[in-house]
Amino acid sequence: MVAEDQYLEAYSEIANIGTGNAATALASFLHSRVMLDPPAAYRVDLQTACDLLIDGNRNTSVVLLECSGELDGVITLFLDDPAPYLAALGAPEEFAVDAIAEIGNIFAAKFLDAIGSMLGIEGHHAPPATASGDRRAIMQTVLALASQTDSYTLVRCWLRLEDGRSPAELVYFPGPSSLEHVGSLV
Amino acid sequence: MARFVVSIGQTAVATDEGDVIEMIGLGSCAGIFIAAPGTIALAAHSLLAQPRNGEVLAQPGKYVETAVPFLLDRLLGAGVARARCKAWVVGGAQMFTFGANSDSANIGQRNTDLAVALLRQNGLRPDTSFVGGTSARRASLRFDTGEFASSAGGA
Repeated sequence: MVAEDQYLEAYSEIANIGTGNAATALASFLHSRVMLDPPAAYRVDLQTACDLLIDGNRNTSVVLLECSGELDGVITLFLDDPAPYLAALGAPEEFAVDAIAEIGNIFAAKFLDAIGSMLGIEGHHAPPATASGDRRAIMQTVLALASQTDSYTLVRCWLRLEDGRSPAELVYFPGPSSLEHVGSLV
Repeated sequence: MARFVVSIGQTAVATDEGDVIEMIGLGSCAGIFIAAPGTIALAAHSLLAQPRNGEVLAQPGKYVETAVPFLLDRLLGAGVARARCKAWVVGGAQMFTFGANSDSANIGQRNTDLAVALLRQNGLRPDTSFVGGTSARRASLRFDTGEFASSAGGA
């Protein structure tokens, strides 16, 4: 039996490398530096997950990718203020939804590639799903899709554009297979 | 007199004058409300229709399948005839735009469909005026009068 804190620490380490790779890809795509906070891993019950992820009532835009195969789970990228990301990309207003989906797709795909390489496993993901609106309401679908057992294991990381504004939040919920592979490393 | 704001996976039972049960920012979840005005008001904020294999059920409100029997047990415990009760099912919105043929697009509809079916099986006729769509809702139920309200928006 692996100690809980040891397990979460291992997941944070793996996520750290994954987010580093993903940020490099996103920076190249946006032609802008992307700064990262170190990721943190949690194992929490539903109520604590709600408290952690739904802090207040605000609008957000989010990209969600459902992953299957050995590298399974749900990965989301929340952009409370997508405008600077769209501006960095030079995306016109009418393509905002597609551009946000592409930003999420690039970041999430690189993140998954990197952690898949480290773990020696592969997975594939569905096309990105997008939503905009009340974060509390959007999070219900995320938590429903990520629900596997009586608790949630999640990795959370903040990134920002080079001016420090417009934080975006990556939240990754590894699925049962991914969790098992990380457990075997510890 | 109390204001119960029912979060995801939670249930609420109101039995005092002036009590109000509320749900804020309902998306794909099912909000299930039952009232026998002046006697009891109940609600559950359910995330999913049914538990997945092997899950330990710490919270009956998390799933529609366990929330409805939980609420009906409380109703029975209060000695209320179901014929006196009003019921509402709210939520089940599709918050995300998924790719074609994605099963995940129906997650909200599965929640509210099962809630309606289970309530009907148990002799209640839920109002489903506030189900579906693509945006957040809020809803409230007053213990005293059984007055129910729902509006768009999460705030």
